[in-house]
Amino acid sequence: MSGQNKKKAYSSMLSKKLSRRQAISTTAKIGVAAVAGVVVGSIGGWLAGSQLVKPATVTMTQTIERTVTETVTKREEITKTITAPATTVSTAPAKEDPYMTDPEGWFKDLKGVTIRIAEEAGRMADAIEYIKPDFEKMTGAKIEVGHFPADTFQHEMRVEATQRTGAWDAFETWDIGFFAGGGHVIPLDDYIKDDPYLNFDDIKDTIQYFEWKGHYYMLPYNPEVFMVYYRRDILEEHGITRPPRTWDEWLDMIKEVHNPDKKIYGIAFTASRFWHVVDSNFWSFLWSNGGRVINEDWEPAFNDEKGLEALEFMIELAKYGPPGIYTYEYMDVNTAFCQGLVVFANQWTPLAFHAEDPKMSKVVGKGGATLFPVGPHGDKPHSPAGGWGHAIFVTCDKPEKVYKFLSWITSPTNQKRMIAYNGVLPNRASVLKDPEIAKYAVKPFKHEWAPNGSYFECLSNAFKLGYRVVLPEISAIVQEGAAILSEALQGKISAKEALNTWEQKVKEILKEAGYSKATHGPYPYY
Amino acid sequence: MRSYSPFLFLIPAIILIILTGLYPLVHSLYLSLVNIKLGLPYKLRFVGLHNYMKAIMDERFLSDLLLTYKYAAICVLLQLVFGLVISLTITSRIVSEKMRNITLSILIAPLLFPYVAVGQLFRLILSTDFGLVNYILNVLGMQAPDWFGNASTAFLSIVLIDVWQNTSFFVLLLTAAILSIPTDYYEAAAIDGAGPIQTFKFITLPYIYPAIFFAVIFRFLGSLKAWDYVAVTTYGGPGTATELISWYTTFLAFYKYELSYSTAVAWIFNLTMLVLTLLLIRIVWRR
Repeated sequence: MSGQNKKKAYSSMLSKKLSRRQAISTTAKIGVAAVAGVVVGSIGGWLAGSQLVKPATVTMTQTIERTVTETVTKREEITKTITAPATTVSTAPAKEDPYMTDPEGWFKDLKGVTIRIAEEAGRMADAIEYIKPDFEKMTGAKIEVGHFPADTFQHEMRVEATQRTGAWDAFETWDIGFFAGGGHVIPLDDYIKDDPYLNFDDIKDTIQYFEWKGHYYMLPYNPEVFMVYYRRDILEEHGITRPPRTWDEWLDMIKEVHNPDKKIYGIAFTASRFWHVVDSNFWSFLWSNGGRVINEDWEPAFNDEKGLEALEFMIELAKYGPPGIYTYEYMDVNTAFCQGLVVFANQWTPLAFHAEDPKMSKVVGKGGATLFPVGPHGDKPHSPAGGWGHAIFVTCDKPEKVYKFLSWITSPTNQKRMIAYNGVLPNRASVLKDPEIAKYAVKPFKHEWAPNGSYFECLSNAFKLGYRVVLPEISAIVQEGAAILSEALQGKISAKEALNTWEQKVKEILKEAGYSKATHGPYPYY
Repeated sequence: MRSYSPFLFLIPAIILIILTGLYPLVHSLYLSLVNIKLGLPYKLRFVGLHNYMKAIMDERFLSDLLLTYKYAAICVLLQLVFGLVISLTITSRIVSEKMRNITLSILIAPLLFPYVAVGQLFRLILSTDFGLVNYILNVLGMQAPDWFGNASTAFLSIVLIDVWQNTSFFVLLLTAAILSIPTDYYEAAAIDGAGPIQTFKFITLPYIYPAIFFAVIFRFLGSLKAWDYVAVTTYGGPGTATELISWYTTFLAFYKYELSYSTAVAWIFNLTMLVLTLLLIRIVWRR
C-alpha cells in the first residue's frame, strides 16, 4: 500500500467508510499496538525500577578507596557528594580493631571464595555495598549482594528457605521464629565460640534477640528498638522538661499539647491493619503493663486485665491522633512526626535518623525519644527490641567462611562507618557509648534511660531489657490480631470482644502446632 | 514422515505450555490435597478434600469471596459505563480527529503503569493527612473523608483505583468497535428519522456488543484477581473490609504459612470464575 493509499484508508476509517475486513484489521492492529505498548511500558518500568533498587555500587567503591587515602578535609567533601550525614566519624580502619588488621590470620582462607548475601533493598543493602570493598581487598573474597524489594523480601526468603535452592548463602531477617524454628538456618554457637575477634560481651545485649532454644542463629545487623518519640520543643513550650514515665502522665501530656485547630495532634502510631499495630504497638503496651503474649503453658496470655487495659489505652490514644491515623502504617508515622504534625510517635529506630535529616524532616534538632511509659500494672518501661540480623541458610556449603564475613560486618570500625554513611545502627555496646555517634540521632531530654541526653544510651538500655516473643507461628498470630485490633481501634467492636476473638484464633494456631509445657517445657519468652 | 513434520514443529511450544502452564496447575492441585505448611516442621500426608471442606466451612473465605465478586462487578460496571460514554463522545462528530487521537493517547497511559505504582500513587493522593484530594477539600471547606481508614470508603477507594486505571481498556476496544460500524447504517437511520437514542439502541449497541462482551469478561476476570491495590493501600483492612480473595490467599500462604489450604482456597475461587465465565459465554452465544 502506497503512502497516499494509506492516508486515504486512514481518512476513510475516521469518516466511518470502512469495509468489515478493514474494520477487523484495524481493530486487530489497535489491539496489537495496545499489547505492544503495555509490554514496552512494563519493560521500561521494570528497568526504571531496577535502577531505583540497585545502588550505584561503582560510585560507592570509589568513595571508599578515596576516603581511606585522602586527608580528613578531602574526605568530608567526598562524602558529602554521596549525601551521607555529617562525617566527622573516622572511617579509616582503626589500628586497634583486629577485624581490620587480622592479626590471627583468620581471614586467610577466604581468597577466591564467593559469598552471596541477600539483603532488603535500600539502607541496609547499600551499607553492605559501601563497606564490602575493604573486605574484598583484604581477603581476596568476592561478595555478591542481592537487593530485594522490601515488600516481598521476607516472603522470598521464606520460599527460598523452604525450597532449599541454595541460591544464597546468607540473608538478613528479623523472623528468628520462622527460620530457626523451621530449621532453615544453622546455629552459630560454634563459630561464635571460635571467633577470635567478636568480643561476645560487646554484642551480648543485641544478639540475645536472635536466640532460639538456647542457640544463637544470627549476628545482629541494624538492631532496632520500638520507642516513644517526642517533640522536645513543643513539650518545653508547655513547661514539660522530661518524657512521660507512666501512662497517666503520657495521656495528660498528649491532652495538653493536642491542638487540632493548629494542626498539632497528640500522637501518631500504626492504627491500621498493618502488622505493626500488634507486633510493635500492642506488645509494647502489653509488656509495659506487666502482661505477656504467651504464658509458660504455651497458651495466649494477653486476654486478661492487663491486655484489656493495654488495648483500651491504645483506643484512647488514637483519639488524639491525626484524622488519618486509622490508615497509618510504618512510613506514615515517620512522615507525621517529621512533618511536624504530631508531638508523640511510637516508632522503630530509623525515625531517630529521619527526624534529623533536613531533606526529610521539618523538626531537625527538636526530637527526643524514650522507652514506653509504665502502665497501671507494670513495674518498669518496656519496648520491643531486636530488629535485624544475618543468618546462614542450612544449604550453604561454606558456612564457616560466610560466618567470617558476617562477623567482619559487626566490627566496631564498620559499625561506625555504616551509621555515618546511612544510619545503619551499631550492634556493639562499645560503639553505642561512643560520643562521636550521638549527633546522628534525635537528642532526648536527660532522663533515667538517657542520663547524658544521648539517644544511643536510651537504645543501649532498651536492648538490655530483652523483651521479645519468639515462635515460628508468630507471623500468623500477629496478622490475625492486626485485622481484629484495627476494628477495635475504630470502635467497630469492643476491646474485650476483640481480645476474645483473637485469643480463640491464637489458641487454634498453638493447638494445631502441638505445643505444650509437657513436650516443649515452659514457654521461655514473653 | 512428511505428515508428522507439522507436529514436530509444535513440540517446543507444547513443552513450553506444559512447563509454564500445566505443571504449575497440576502441582497446585497436588498441594491442595496434602497438608504442607510453608517452611514449618510437619509430616507430609495426603488429606484428600479436607482443605476444600475446610474452605467451604470458612466464613471468612465465603465473605471474602462475595466481597471479591461485588468488587469486580462494581468495577466492571463503572468501567463499562464510563468507557462507553467516553468512546461515544470521542467518536461523535463534535470531536475532531486530532482531538480524538490526543484523547486516546492520554487515556492509554494508565494502562501502561504497573498496578503497584498506581496503588502507591493513589495512596498518596488519597492520604487523609497529606493527600492532594483532602487538601483541596479542606481548602474548599468541605469535610475530608478518611479514604482508606473507614470500611466503606476504603472499599470505594480501591474500586476507584481500578476504575481509573482500567476504564481506558474499555475506551480503546469500544472506540475501535464504534469506528468499524459502516456509516451507511447511520445514514439510512437518519433518512428513516431515527433519533440518537434509537440509533444507539438499534445500530451502535448491537454492532459493538461482541467488543463489550469481550471487554467485560476480560476485565471481570482481571478485577477478580486484583491484589496489588490492596497490598499497597489497606492490607485488606480496616478489619476485613477490603480483603479480596487474592489477598486472603496471600495471607494464608505467607503469613499463616498454610500453603495447602491457601491453594485449595485458590482452586475453589478459580472454579467459581470458570463456571461463571462459561455461563456468561453460553448466555451470550444463545443471543
